[in-house]
Amino acid sequence: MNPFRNISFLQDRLAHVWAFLVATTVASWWLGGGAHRVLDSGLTQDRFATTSLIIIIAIIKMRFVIWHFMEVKECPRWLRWTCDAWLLSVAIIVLGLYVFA
Amino acid sequence: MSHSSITYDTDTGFTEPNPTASGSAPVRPNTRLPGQAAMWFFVLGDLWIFTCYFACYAFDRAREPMAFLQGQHTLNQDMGAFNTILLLSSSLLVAWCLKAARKQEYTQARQLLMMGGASGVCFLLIKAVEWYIKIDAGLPEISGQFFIYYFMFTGLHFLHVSLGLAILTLAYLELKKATSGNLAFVESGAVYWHMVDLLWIIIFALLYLM
Repeated sequence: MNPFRNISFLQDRLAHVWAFLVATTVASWWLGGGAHRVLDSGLTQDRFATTSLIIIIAIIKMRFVIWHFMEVKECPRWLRWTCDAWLLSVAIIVLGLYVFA
Repeated sequence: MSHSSITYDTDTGFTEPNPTASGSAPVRPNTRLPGQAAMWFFVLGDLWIFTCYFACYAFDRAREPMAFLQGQHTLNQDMGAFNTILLLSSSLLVAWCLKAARKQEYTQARQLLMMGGASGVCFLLIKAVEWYIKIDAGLPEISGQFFIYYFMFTGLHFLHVSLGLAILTLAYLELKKATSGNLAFVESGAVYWHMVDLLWIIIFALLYLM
């Protein structure tokens, strides 16, 4: 039996979320791929905008996984807020330490 | 604000207030917790513990950005990205499995769960190949603080994936005898499996790309 019967890739919301997550994975892989960060000397260069964007993309991806795959969008308010507080904390801690430490 | 009646969605199992219907039924929330509450406490606790590790990593990276970038440069970003897509696909298959199980399509649910688990096994195999390549390269390539974090994060995550696969196996067995429509264990397993995906998204960004 076809395991994908009754599932329309074009209409299924979970499939849309997956497509978005794969697209953002490819985008961040391209951003952090390294080639454009390597100097002639062979040393790598830390680019503020690239690094910050990679972290922000990761946070957005995690929000989509939590919201749609873990079904938190349908969960009680305390769980929605706890998850968003966690995401915000990770963003502030990682970006904050990257910028100010 | 008051809602007068509740509609029950047999597809998702969610209850939703129906503001258009009339009557004076008691007000109930339009939300529910998928899976067991204990699993959610475990998942949230685990995420906060990992946040402490991420903070340590970000702090140390800020002190030695060049050394960390050099270490990162020796990692295989292509393998990391492929593994990310593998876990995302696995998460999608497990989410679809739950959807099918809620429609009482248990055979389809088991097939999807099996495919999701197989993607997880592929993830572990690729990770093992990556480790083998790194360890084979030996010192000095894998020396320094960056590689302590690399092996700690990927190692801890490997353990989480392994535990996730064990939980998915139990969920598979549960689906085999599922006739009563009680999917709490399968839902809990799915929540755990998505957490494994979640952790990999941030670990991939921090270790391979940042």
